[in-house]
Amino acid sequence: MKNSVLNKLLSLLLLLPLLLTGCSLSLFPGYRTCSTAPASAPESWFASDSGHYLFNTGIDIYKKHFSGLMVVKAMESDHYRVVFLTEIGIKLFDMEFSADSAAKVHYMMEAMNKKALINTLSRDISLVLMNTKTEEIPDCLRQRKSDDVVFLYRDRGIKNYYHIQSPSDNPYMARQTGCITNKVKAWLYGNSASGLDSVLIRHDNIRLSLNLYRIKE
Amino acid sequence: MLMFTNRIHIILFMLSFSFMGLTAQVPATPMKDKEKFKKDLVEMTAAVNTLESDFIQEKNLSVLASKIISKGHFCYRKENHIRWEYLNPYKYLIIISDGKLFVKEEKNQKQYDIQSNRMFQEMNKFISGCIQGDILNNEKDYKAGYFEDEKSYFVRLVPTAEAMKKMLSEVQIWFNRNDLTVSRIVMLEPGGDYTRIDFINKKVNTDIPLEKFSFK
Repeated sequence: MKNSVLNKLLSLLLLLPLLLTGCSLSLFPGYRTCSTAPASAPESWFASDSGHYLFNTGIDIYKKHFSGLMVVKAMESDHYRVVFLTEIGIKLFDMEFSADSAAKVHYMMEAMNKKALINTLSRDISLVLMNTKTEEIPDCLRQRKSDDVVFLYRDRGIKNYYHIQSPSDNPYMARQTGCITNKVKAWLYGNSASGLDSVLIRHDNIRLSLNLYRIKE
Repeated sequence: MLMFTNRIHIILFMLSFSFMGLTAQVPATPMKDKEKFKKDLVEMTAAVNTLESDFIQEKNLSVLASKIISKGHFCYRKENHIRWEYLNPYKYLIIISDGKLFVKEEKNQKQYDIQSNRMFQEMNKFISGCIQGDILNNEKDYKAGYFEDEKSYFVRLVPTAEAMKKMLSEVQIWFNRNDLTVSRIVMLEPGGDYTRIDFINKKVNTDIPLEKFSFK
């Protein structure tokens, strides 16, 4: 009996440093501070002058699969409108994203109208849009293994990391961490000549993934 | 493809398969003899063994300056063999045949047993109903208005269920006055966005081999 209590106490003591620092694994993502910061932060692939993007999109949520077309439109003043439709034209959701406020849901089909799902999808899409607060200056980091430049934005306990390979690039990878663990990663494929080609989003802790393949109209 | 569980979603989903169109001049003259129209439609569909058509789908979103245009090909063969294929600018194929539903996306394909799933049973019934004109008799789910002009018969279906009304304010179906085939279908959303599908190059009772409805 005593041994059991002691073991529990010992376990708690071992966890104490993590609890005291408030966060854990995501504190040690293998980055170091930039010695010289790049002149400017990376730009979103969805810049305001990029018209609209149309993606062939699959969303897998546990055992459910949704497929359709996702429209991403950069509006004025760092606003984005994101509409997800079936191939046949039925609207699944219509959301508006701005840097300084929560996503506004214009329409959400009943089958997807769950608060947790909406919040998660909103965070995922915001991560890919790079919909950060306009006045926020990111921290500059360098990845230890690859020497990539990584920009870190913080927002109410959430950290968004954007990886770039050279200063003029758009991010090729984005990662969001919460307090304890990694939450989600997004890979953004494309090049400066033709723009964004595809986006893959994967969650670490829940069975949710999004695959977006751009349709050239 | 969507996995819905309630009936409203099923109906909405199924509606999207039907043959569609909007915003062009809508016939406003009430149909003189709607019972004759319905009777003629039933007779016409009874005589149709196969039907194929190209289609042009136009999605109008108020947030976009331009419309999203997609094109494809539609085939039907009695009884209940349906092939609905998007060819441009994306590839997407739906086949309903022998009690099964097959969906092929660019990078994914799935097969479902219609009999084991109420949603697919309803969908199958609905699509067949559209082709055979039975949808117009569905007075439980829609309030129908009948109109005509010199070129078309026009039916306006207004959903009656609250959940459905949140998604669609109206479904419009245009029938060619000469042969009663569907030439346009439009799904209007409450916010003003709409989907229009125009059917062109229609061919009735051509030889469409069963292989067209094979999942391989």
